[in-house]
Amino acid sequence: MSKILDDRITPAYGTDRVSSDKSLEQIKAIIEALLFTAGEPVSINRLADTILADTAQIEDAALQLQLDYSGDARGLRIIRINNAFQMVTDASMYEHILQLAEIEKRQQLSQAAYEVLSIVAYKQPVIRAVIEKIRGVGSDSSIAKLMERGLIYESGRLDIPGRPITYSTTDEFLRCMGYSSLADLPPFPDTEETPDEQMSLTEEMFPEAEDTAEQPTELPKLD
Amino acid sequence: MAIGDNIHWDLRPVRLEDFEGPLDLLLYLIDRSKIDIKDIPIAAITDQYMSYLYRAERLDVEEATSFIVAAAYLMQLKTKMMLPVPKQEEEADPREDLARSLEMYKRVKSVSQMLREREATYGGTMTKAPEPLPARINFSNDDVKVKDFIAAYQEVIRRRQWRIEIERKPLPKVVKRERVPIKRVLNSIAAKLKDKQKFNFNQEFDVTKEDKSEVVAAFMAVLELSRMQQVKLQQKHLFGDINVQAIKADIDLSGAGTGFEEET
Repeated sequence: MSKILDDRITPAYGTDRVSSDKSLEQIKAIIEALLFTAGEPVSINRLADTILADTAQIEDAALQLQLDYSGDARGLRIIRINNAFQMVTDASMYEHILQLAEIEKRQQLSQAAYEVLSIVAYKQPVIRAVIEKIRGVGSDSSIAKLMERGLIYESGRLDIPGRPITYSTTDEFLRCMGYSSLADLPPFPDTEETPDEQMSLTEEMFPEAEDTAEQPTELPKLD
Repeated sequence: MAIGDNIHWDLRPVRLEDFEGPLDLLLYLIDRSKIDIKDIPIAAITDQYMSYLYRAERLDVEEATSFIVAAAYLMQLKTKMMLPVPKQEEEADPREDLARSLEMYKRVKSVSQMLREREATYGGTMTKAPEPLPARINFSNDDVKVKDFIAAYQEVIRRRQWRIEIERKPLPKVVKRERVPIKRVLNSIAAKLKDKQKFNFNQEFDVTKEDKSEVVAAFMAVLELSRMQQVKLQQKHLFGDINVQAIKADIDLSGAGTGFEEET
C-alpha cells in the first residue's frame, strides 16, 4: 500500500494541515457531496481533514458554495452554524414539502415556551430558578417542551448548593431561528447586552430566592 | 382612594387564564392604563389585580400559587408605601424591585415575539438524515499478528457460548427485578482500588459470569469515579478490555453525584 493512500485512509486529525493543490472548484464540489451525504452540520476542521486542505481554503470554498446556492432558482441552502456547514432546504419550500408528505404542520410553541427560550438564549447557561424568577411563574413544562424539541439542552450544573442544572441553546435553535451563531442575536432590548456579555443574574437572585419562603398564612379566597 | 385617582383605569374584563403569570397581568394592567412603570400607584394596582384574582374561573395549582404569591407581595408593598418614612433615612423606593422585574419581563416578552417571527421565517428548513455509511475499520498489516486472530476468534466463541447458555437455561417462574445499589458497588470498587490500585474491568466484572445489572452498576460506578477524577480509564481499542487505575492512593467518594449518594 502506498504511503499516499495510507494517509488518505487515516484522517490527518491533529496533524498540521497543508494547503491542497486542488482547485477551489474541486474543493467546492467535494464539500457539496460531503454535506449532502452527511445531512448534519459538518465542521470546517472535519472537512479539512477529509479533503486534505487547510481550513482557510475550506472556509473560502464553503462560503462560495453558500453563495452559489443563494439564488431564487435553488430549493437547497448551505447554512453555517458556528464552525460547521450544513445543507438544508430553503425555509420557503416548507409549504410544498407539506403537500408532498401530507405531514402535519409543525406545532407552534406556546407563548410560555418562547419566553423561556428567550431567557435561555440571552442568559445562558441559566438555571431554572433564574428563568422562573424572571417570568414570575413555574416553567417546568415549557423547559421540558423545549428540551423535547431539541432547542435547549442541559449544559451543566452550577457549583452552588443543590447543584442546579444549567440550560443552554442548541445548534438546532440557531438553525430554527436562522442564525449562524449566538453572536448574531440582536442585543437584548433597551440594553447594549449581547449574549456574550451576560449579567450575573444567578448571584444577584439567590439571596432573594430564599425570601420567598415567607408566605402569608391566610390566603385570599379564589372564587 | 387618593393614589391613582388621576389615572383613567381601563376596566374591560380580562380572563386570568389568558396571562402567562402575575407579571404578565401586571404589565397588561399598567400598559393598558398608560402608567409609568417607574411610578406605579401600588394601592390602586393591587386593588385591580385582586379583583381579577377573585374573578378567575379556572387556574391550575402552579399558576394559582404564583398569582397568590404575587398578590401577597403587592399587599406587602402597599403596606410599606403607607408607612411613613423617617426623614433622615432616605430609603430606596420599595417599588424599585417590582419596576425592575416588570421591565425585565417586558424585554423578555419582546424577545420572545422576535424569536417567534424568526421561527416563522426560518423554522421550515428541512435537514436530511445522514446516509447510513458502515463504519470503516482500519487494519494495518504490521500490528495484527496471528495470535490476535486467535484471541478474537476465542472471544467471539466465548460470547456466543454465553448466549447459548442463556438460551438453554429454563426460565425462572417469577421474574424479579433485582436492584443493585450503585453506592454499594462504588464502595466495593473503591475498596478494590485501595487494595491493588488498578484492575481490569472486564475480568473483575465478567458479563458472562456475573449478574448483568451488577456489571451495569459497576460500569456506571466506574464512569462516576472517572467523572470525579478519582480514576483513569484506559481502553486500547474498540470493545477491548477496560483498565481502571486509581489516580490517588485513597479514593475520595465525597463528590459522588445524584443517585450515587443514597442506597435505594
